[in-house]
Amino acid sequence: MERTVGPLLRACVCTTLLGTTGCAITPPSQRGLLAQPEMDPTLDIEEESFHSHIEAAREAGFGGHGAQGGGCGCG
Amino acid sequence: MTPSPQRRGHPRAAWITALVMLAAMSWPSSVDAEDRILIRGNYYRERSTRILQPYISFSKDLPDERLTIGADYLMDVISSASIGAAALQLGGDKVFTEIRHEATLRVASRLGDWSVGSFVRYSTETDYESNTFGLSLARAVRQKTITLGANYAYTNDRAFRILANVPGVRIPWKSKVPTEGDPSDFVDGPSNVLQVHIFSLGYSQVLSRTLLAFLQLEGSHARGPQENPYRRVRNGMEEVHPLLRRRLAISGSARYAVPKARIVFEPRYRFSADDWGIRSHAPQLRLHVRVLPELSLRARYRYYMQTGSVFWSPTGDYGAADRYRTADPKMGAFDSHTAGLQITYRLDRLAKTPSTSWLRGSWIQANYDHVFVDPDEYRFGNARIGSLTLSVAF
Repeated sequence: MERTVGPLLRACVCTTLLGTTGCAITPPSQRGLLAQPEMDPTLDIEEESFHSHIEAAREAGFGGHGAQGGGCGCG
Repeated sequence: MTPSPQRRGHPRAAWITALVMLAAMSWPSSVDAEDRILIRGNYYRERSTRILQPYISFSKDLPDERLTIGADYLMDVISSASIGAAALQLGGDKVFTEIRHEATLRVASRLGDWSVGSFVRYSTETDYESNTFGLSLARAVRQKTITLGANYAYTNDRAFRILANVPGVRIPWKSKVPTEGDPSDFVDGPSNVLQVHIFSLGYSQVLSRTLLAFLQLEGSHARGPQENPYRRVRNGMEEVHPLLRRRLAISGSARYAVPKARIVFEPRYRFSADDWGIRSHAPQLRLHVRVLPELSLRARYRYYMQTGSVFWSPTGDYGAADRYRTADPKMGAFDSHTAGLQITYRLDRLAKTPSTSWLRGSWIQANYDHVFVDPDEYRFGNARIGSLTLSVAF
């Protein structure tokens, strides 16, 4: 698992470092579009939770919906 | 009643909740309150299982985002056809229905650039009980264009096996482990408790006035029984999965708005790997279209593929000396295609009279997704997933 995940993990860290240090800041006055419902991921929380549950029952993959736990013995 | 490990966790949750409340109430207010009730009906259907899931969620700011409390309740009504050897365990080959209840209490607080949250969740059904406790922490930096977050959740589950389909007649399910001297001789595992630790680190950034990006790293560590107590492999032997499973997932997504076309593109990708030998890839594309000011459509396509676990047998045959055995289709290699459509209608236009003003900020939504698989490759078959949602602000 380490051999596969290692490069992806390094790419993740590099992207984060680049983002936090290298990009120009978009001022608040130009963020109007970002307030649209289509740009807001928090509106999908209930759907993500339901899909996460279904995927846990049908697939052996994991994650991509936020860190949540609990549920059923769907195994 | 014997105190369970999860009960010992509750005083800790109460302490954290009290501290969050104290800090929140002493922090200056900067935002207005929005309280909300969400009612949702979910439907799921595959070859031998149907689930109806009513769900209600309530959240209230006290008095604003400095302190938000919430509660969720859902009920799964699960109808399944018992098949094969499982039918013998459950008292015959027939459709049986069981109900799962799940309740969650949440508390969250936004204090300047910091956000903290906590939740407890209890879930119970005829042969399974689950307790979860979670914490989250996030900080906005660089004029709130970047959010860094961390989440942790601990789940303590208890698995049981129903005998002869008689409600209340059940035994703890402890999985099976081979004896030291004879690998073909299996005995009960140490416990029926499954303990799961889940963590995640999240990163989101405003890259431009039309582009948002998200990155997430997630991991889980699960120890305890992880197979289905009823399912048998082809020669009638019980399933045996490893007691320990560690998983890691990396996911990323973006939302890119095209203002003139009133379209938002949302590509997603997730990779996950575990120490059972399973690797999965899940690219997805979502397209949001604002058809009218109050009407939005969303189409999505998701491709999923995974490799099989190291103990998966494509023929389903296992010998007596095989340490691990499984008849779970999701332990094998397969791929699937999901296509879905969502319609959202915002009700503000209807809120212009005194009698309907309560609809301001409310919306209704309908979702349908269809999962396509090769039935020769994957025994659960295709799936239909639907939901209807009403969200009311108050």
